[in-house]
Amino acid sequence: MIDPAIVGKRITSSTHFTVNQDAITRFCQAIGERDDSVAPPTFSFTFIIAAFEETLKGAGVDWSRMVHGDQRFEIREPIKAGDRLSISSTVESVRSAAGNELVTVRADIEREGQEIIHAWSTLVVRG
Amino acid sequence: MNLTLGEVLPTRIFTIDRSALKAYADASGDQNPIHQDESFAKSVGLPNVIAHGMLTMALGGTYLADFFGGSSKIRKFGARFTKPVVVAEDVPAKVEFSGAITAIESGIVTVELTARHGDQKVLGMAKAEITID
Repeated sequence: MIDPAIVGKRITSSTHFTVNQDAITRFCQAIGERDDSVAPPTFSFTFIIAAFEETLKGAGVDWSRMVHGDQRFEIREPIKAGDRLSISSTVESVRSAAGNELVTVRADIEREGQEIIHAWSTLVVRG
Repeated sequence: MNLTLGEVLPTRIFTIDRSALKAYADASGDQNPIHQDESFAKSVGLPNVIAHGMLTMALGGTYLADFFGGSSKIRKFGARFTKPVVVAEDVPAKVEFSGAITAIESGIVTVELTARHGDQKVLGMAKAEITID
């Protein structure tokens, strides 16, 4: 069972990280995108998931039964090579449906003190 | 761009084979064995290896970016992962994307995206908001 007390928990990464062109280029190549001048809209999920894992640590999430239920991005500015980013993640809700447990987590990605991307994931722990 | 409400975008098929899954696993860091190891996938009750849901969604992003003039135009993008895309060793999955323009307002178009594998819709409620010039 996911502990409902986790709702509202927010963790901000203590370190910034820099996005390199090679990571963007490899991602673009893997998804058939020829233009690697900016990161594709779903690129941020490659580092968001680790932030979610950290935020949900100790909450009773069985990762071996986890599937990705849905995903949503709001992108004010796309990520580019050389960007120094930080990420915060917040647990928005925990609920049960059809014998599964669903947790919705939001990521806020900042560049130079400005939020550039918000992303929401619903993660489903199959019952 | 000259776009009209209700306009339907040309369909495009993306082929997902095992090497594409390996490439996406390496590029995204998602090395879950259900996307690469057939015996593991079957041991957890799947019919075979399945594609990363985020790969299917990303291909939808590529489809939209190509049509609208680049990834940087995509301001909102969301989807549900309704059915897994099964990728057998010798049967690459062909996922067909299509889209329809459901709103145009203040330089932003809303596109409802459809992704099909065979007779199954593999994304649900897939929608994007895209800036147009």
